Amino acid sequence: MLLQAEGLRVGYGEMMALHGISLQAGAGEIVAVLGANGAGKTTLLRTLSGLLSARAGRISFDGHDVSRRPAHQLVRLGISHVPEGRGVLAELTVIENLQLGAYARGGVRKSGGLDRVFELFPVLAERRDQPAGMLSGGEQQMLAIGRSLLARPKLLMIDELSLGLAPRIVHQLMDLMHTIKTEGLSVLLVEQNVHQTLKVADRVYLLVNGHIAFQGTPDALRAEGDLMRTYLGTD
Amino acid sequence: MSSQLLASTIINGVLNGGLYGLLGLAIVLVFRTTAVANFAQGELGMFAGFILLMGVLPLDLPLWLSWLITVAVSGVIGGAVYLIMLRPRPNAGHLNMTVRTLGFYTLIYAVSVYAWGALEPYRVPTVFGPETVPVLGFSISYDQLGTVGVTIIMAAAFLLFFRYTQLGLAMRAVAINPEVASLQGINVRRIALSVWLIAGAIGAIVGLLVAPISFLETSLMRPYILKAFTAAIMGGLYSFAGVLVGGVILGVAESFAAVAISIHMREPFVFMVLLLVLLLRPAGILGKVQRGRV
Amino acid sequence: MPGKTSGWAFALIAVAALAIAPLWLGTYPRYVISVWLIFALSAVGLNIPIGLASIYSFGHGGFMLIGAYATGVATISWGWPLLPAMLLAVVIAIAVGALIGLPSLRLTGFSLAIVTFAFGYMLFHVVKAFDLTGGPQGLFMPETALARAWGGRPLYYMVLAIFVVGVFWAHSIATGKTGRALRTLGTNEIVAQSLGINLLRAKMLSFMLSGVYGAVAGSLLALVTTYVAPETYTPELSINMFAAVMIGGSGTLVGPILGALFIVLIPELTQSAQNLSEIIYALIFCLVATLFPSGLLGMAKSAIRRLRPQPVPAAVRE
Repeated sequence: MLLQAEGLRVGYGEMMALHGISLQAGAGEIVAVLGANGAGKTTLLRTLSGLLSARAGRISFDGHDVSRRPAHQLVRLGISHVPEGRGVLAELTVIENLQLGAYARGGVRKSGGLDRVFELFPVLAERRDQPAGMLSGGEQQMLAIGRSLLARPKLLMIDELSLGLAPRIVHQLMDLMHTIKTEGLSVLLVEQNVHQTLKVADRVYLLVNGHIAFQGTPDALRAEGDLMRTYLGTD
Repeated sequence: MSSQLLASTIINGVLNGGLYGLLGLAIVLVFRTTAVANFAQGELGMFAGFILLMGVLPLDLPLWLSWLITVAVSGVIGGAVYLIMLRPRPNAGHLNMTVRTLGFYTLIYAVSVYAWGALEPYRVPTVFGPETVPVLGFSISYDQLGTVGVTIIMAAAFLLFFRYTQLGLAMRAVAINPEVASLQGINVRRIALSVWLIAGAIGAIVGLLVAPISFLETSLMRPYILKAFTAAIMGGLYSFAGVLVGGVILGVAESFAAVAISIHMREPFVFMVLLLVLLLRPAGILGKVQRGRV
Repeated sequence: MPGKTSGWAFALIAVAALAIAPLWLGTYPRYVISVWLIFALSAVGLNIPIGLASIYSFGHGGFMLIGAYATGVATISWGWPLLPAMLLAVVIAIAVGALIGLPSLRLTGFSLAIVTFAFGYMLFHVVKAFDLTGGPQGLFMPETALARAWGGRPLYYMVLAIFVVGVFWAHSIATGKTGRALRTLGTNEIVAQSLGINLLRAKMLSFMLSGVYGAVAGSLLALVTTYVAPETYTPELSINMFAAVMIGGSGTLVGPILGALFIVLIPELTQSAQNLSEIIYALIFCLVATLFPSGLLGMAKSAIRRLRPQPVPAAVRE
């Protein structure tokens, strides 16, 4: 397993947000975490990427115990996290944002891969010297993903890939996840867009109030009508 | 106003204004990356003057080398302040962090007064030589020319540094959003440390430029700190170019106020400029949008 | 800490002790206690914007300057009696407090802190510039009957009385409607607004109230020290007042009083260490600020908590 988390307990002050979560992601796998607002999805990603530290539990990544490692070290090990709200630095230009992505790999020139990002997202090349804040929502998501790819990650974690984007763009980005996967990258998606996600994911976790209520294949989840209706609001 | 007076008023204003801008740059840098209003920024400069005079000059090295050593030592002091005073209990909040810089301000001042006496002026040699040159009918001292020159070079160097180096880019990223920066693999605490090193060095450069022009004494930098803060606000607490431009505008404005109204009005005038800028352009003179975290 | 019975008892004993002490104490200790009470009064007032509303105010020395100079100018140059002179000081402070509060809606945190700092700095330079205020030398206060009679004890009791009234008033502000409004806006302005709190009014009020405290304290300081000099009211005074609140423990009633004790007493106590006193003060200042972010009061509380068996919080007990 590339990523293995066991018994994660995370809280803010007195309040616990995650009550013993275990989760795995293998190499070249797309894993999705579904759940309603406030179920603890973002907290889970933030814990995995080292922004939060768990009170209990263990995380190992690529053979290292990373439970206590800070975020910036995990980037070097190969975890890249597109945070909630995309985390595009609006005041910086597109190319500066991309340069930051390659920071952990010694800069864009050393990292290479800029051409590949521009090939995937030609619009970024066209607007490379504009402030990132001028991009549309979809373009900002592309920038955030492109920036993450420049860190040459083994695991790409994305918080709400589809939030606020047009269906056409969501479709395009989900296709991209598939492409990335075939190149051997693992992807961990946190999503509220159930249908699109179930189409690309290999395995799914359903998070309810900080507990895992279900894990298995998308087909198995679809078969759980009650869960789908109660927690994901779909029929 | 004679043209000669006019010219000297402008030159004085630009000279002081550039120094406000440089100090303001350090303040903005520290504020944006560590969310601390560094009240000790000026005192670092005063202290550097004494380091040069008492510690480095007796070594009898060439003057320029003494200068460099002093700047480096002051940088190390800046870094030490961060490590010793700001690293412990990091979740204490901005207000407490600012109080810590006030504590350091009080400490460095107390130590200086103890060692070198309050209000005792010392003469600091200049690197630029005592001569003056005639320019367009009035004379400018090498000191003034050199100060303006160093200010311009420093300002340009920092602007280029932020724009074109990896470290500069990382500092800007941390300044905008430390969390996103850390997700790009940037060690935010190490950036904060380097920012404090730079702040110490900038403080020393300003102090070493001021000291030969006025006499060095323990309250040397007192008039500078508020104006540096004002320059920082004129830059919207964000734009490095804005801070430098703001400093120069402030310097020229107060210089005119002193000549045209009264020398006593020079300091109160700064307050009016500050209020005016904040009311008319709260995002800074070069700013367009109101940014968060101000 | 009043609010609990033990708190009231403590306050009563403290006031009684302060009331009897001068019957035995000599002139100098009485003077030191007076100065402490004055700084404590000032700090209690400064705690209103800082501790309740979380507004950085770095210009509190400016209000003290207004109090001292208004009292000085009115009594010396215009021959006013003391009480109207003090009233004038309070009125000016309220007006100036309102003025400083005005931009507070558009400015937050850092910018407002610098505006308040600049305000104190400006006043310091203004009083140095005019003859009316005595220029760089300042003003010598004439000796009042309060200071002449009974070895100056009436003046001490006046300071103590005003201090007690000030603390009680601050307590009722903090526990009353104004205090709730200020604490709400200090925590979250948007929530405060949605609760119908007028932000501008509340912020202006916090500056005006702290201005009243500062002006009264400045006025008393002029009487006790018999001297109004610009060098007393430098920007460093504002910084020291701010430090007093933060070092003592902001947001509490006792904290600022403790903090004032710290900034008055440490320099006095360490005077025997000659020139080192300033350094010792600064070192302790740094240590407390760095190691005890919640101030001396928080430090004392956590020490007590460690000594006593942990009481179960009410919410858990039920």
